Amino acid sequence: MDTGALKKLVADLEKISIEEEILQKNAGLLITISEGVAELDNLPIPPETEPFFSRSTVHKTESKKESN
Amino acid sequence: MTTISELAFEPLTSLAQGFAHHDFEPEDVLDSVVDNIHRKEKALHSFLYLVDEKSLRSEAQSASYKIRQGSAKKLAGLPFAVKDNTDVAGLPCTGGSKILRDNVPLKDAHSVSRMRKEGAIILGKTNLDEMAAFGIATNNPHYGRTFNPWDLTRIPGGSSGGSAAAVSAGEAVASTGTDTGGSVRIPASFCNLVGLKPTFGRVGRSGTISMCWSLDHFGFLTRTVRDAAFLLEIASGPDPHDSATIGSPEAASFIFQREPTLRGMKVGVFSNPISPSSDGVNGVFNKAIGKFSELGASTIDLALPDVDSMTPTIFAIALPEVAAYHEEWYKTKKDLYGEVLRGYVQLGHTVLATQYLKAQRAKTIILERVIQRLRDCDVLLVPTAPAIAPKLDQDTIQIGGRDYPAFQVLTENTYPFNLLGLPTMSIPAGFSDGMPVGLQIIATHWREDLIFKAGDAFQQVTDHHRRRPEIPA
Repeated sequence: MDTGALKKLVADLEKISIEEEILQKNAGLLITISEGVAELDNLPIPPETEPFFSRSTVHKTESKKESN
Repeated sequence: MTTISELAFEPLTSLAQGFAHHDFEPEDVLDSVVDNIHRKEKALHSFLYLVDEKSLRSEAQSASYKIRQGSAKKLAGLPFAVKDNTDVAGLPCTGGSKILRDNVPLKDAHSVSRMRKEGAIILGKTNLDEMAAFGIATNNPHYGRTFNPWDLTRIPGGSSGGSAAAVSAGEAVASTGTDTGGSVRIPASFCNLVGLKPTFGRVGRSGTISMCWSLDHFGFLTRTVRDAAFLLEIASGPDPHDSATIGSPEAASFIFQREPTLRGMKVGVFSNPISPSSDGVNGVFNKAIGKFSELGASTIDLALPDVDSMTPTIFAIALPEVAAYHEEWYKTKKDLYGEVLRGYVQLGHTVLATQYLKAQRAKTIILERVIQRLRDCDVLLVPTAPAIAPKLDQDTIQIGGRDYPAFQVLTENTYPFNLLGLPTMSIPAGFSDGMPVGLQIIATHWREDLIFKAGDAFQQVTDHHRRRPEIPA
């Protein structure tokens, strides 16, 4: 696929533009989502679901070890 | 002896019994309901569409005949309202949207089909916020607003506000609703009704317009807990076109005690809800807790885990699902959207796929942890809404000297249970400043029986649900 076609593909993803007034009116909600979802990574994973959810936790633990 | 004019305010279960004992006939109930529609609908605007009276009378006569023959089914001759996001064959289904203003479905939604198979009469379609999305006022930008029968200067709650106003004013004996963040329970609370949001996947949603498929629940607005159970018995079960219902028990049957007692029941009082409640609501809530103790239940304070994580989680799921559902319409018919829904569709496009997926993962983790905590009680109590119904254009609500945005604060006690899919019911708990206050009863998945037991015992020893609004002529 040439770069032009790829750029068009990406541009299609941005077809729905956000009105500035809507962004301003909902700034609080957008911050809640952005900051709140980032915090969700810190939720304690119940032991029984760990095998399913633990990948990012393992990754974080390993990174921590490396930096030490 | 109930007079004809009072029949519209009788519970479904009493009406069905009255038919069976030949105390009155379906035509009498229809007369009572239609009389209320004639007198009150202009002030309330509960309905977007009403079936013509001739057809309704013909259905009532047919039900009377079947009752006399002994071949009538459970809902024979009972007149219901249906929220206008749910298909009824041959009637318009607009979703409160201009996009669907000419939409007339050819078949009933799964839930309506189950009700009609049991003989229900459908009176018409009720008003809602546009596409039932993010509304608590039932202030529809295309079809107008619905008013609260208890005070016409206040909102009825939303998005099932038309359904709630209709039942509260005796314009229908019960109604359907949908609930994605509180849209059955908040209007029930504001209009002094029972509002049931069953376990996620208990009642099929095919033929109902979606808002957010992983949070949408089909529910009912009734006068009594027994009526809500009666309707759930009929509607519960797998829907071949809604995969969420695969595990739904078919034809559930709920048994009620003759004597009201909750001896042996453990009632948790949700001690760390997201929002504080107003003094008026707290007063009613504390009195209600006292009633549960009088009924023999033991009460304990119960804090739920991860309450702070629930708001970002639900919005990171709800917004992209709204945007995805509306994407095709929005691209071609943007101008037909009202301002509020247009805004939320746009906002849905700001949430990243990774944020959506993290929220879905968090939902599972939060659910696991909440369920563990709920093992400490049979049911959990919290006010349905932290304040009474606000005035029509009131944007903020003051609680404890602080102003909160109305939409935010009024949904904070309800949406956690959409996120978690837990069964929840709002029941009339009392009045503050002359306005109804609802009490929410929550249980773990599929345990509507515990909610019904607690709610029915409460209704047997209180009479809040028997009060009726007086609407000025």
